[in-house]
Amino acid sequence: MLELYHWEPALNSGEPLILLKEKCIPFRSRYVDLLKLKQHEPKFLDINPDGQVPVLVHDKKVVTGMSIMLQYIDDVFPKKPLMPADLGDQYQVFFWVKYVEERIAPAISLLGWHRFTRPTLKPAVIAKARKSVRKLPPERQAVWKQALKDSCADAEIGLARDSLALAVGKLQGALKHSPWLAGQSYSLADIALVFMARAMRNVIPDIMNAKATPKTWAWLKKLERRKAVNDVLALARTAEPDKIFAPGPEMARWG
Amino acid sequence: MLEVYTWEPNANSGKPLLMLKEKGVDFKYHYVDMGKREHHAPEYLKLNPSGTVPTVVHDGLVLTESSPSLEYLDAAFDGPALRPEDPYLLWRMRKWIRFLDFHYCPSLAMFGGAGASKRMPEQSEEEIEKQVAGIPMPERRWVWGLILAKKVPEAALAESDRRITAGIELFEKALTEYPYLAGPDYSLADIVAMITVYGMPSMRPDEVNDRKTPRLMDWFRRCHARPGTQAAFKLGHGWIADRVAETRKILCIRDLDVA
Repeated sequence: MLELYHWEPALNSGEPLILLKEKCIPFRSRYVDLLKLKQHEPKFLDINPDGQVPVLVHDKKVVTGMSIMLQYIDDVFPKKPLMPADLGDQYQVFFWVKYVEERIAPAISLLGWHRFTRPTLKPAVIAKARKSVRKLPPERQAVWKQALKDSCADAEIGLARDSLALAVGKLQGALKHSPWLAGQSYSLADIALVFMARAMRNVIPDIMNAKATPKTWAWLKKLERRKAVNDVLALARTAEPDKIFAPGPEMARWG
Repeated sequence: MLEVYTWEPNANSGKPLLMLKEKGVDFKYHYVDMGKREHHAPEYLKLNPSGTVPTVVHDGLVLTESSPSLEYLDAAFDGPALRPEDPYLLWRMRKWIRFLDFHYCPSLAMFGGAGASKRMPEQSEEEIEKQVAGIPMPERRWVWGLILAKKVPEAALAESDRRITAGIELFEKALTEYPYLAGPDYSLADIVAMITVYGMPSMRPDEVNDRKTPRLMDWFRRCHARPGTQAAFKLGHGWIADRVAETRKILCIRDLDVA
C-alpha cells in the first residue's frame, strides 16, 4: 500500500505527485491542509514529528524528505526509470536534488513567505500558528517563530536573493549544454525543479524571466506541456498555490 | 585518470579521501591549503567556480559537490559496494547523509569557525570586505565575514551546541537498530559521518563514552580500526593528526601498517 501525504501542487508537495503520475503508480492521496495548520496536529506529527509534507508511507515504511523520496520511489518502482543510465548524468541528478533542498527551496520559501503570505495573515491566524508549533522539534519551532515576526532582516532577504540568482545562473548554464538538467533525457532532476522554477517566476521576477533567462524559461514551458505535470496542476484546490508559501526548510546556518 | 583536489581528511574535504581508500581505488591527491585560502585563488576557481573543496576530476568530468560525488564514485569504480541494494536502506543512507550535510556538519563547522575567528587579527571593515569579495558563494561570503570580523553570534553557537548533543542521541538510537547507520553493512552514511565526527570521543568525552553511548563507542572502534579509515587519515599534513591519535588512544585502537 502506498500513501502520499501532501499539500497543493506546489513547492515540495508537487514533485512526488509528478513522479508518481509519470511512472503511472497508483497511490492513495492524503491531502494535508497547510492553511489550516493540519501539519501540526498530533495525528500528522505521529507520522512525521517534523510537521512537514511530503510524507510517503509505503507498506508501513515512512519515507520523508522530498529529494530522497523521489529517489526512493524511482528505486523501489524500477519500471519507467527516471534516473539516467549514464553515471555522469546520474551525478547531475544527485547534484540537483541536493541543491534544490539545501539552497533553492529555503530561499524561495523565505522570499515567498515574506512577500506573499506573511502580509496577508490575520492576527488570529498568527496566534493560532504560534500555538500550533509548540509540539515541533526546536529547530522547526525556531523557523516558525522567525517567520511569524513582523518583518525579515534586509540582509537575510538579500542573501536569499543572491542565492537564487546563483541558482538561476546554474540552471542557465546546465541548459546551455543539454535539453534537460541531467543530459539528453527528462529525469528526477527536472522533476525536482518544476515547482521551484514556477515559484521563482513569482518571487524573483526581475531575475528569472523570458528575457533574462531564456533557456530556463523555455525549459519550464516545455515541462509545463507534459501530461503528468498538467495532471498534477489540475489537482489544485486553492487559487494560485504557487503564490502561497509556508515557512520552509531553514536557510543554511553556516554557509 | 582520477584526481582529488582537497584539503585534509576532515569533514567535506575528507569525504572522497576516506571513500576511495575504503574502496581501494588509486587517485592523485592535490593538496589545497585552506589555511592559505588556496580554494579561493583564481587558479582553483577555474576548476571549481564555487570555491569549495573537494573537487574530484574523473576523465574530464568535474564533480564539485562532495556527497553526490560519493554516489558517483561508488558506481564508477570496483571495490566493495558502499550503497545498500535494498531501496529502503538506501533511503536510510541518504537520509543520514542529508542530516549530516544540512544539519549536523554546519553545527560542528560553526565551532571550528568560532575557534578560528578568535585567532584572527583585528581588521577594519574595509579590509574584511576586500578579503571576502573574492568568495563566489554568497552564503560562504557571509560566513567568512563573520569569522574575520570575530562576530560569530553566541546564540547561534549555543544552538549548534544543542544540536550536536541532540545528534549524539540520534546516532546511539540508529545503532540500536543496525550495526551501521544505514543498515547491516558499512555504507556511505558511515563514511560521511566518520569523516565528520571521528574525533568526538576525545572532543566531547563527557557525552560520548562507554557508559553513556556504548553503541556509538562500539561503532567508533569498528570504524577507526578499518584499514581504509587509517589509510585516509595518514594522508593529512598534520592538521588533524593529534586529534586522530588522541581518539585512537581513548578507543584503544592500534595503528595499522597501511598506505
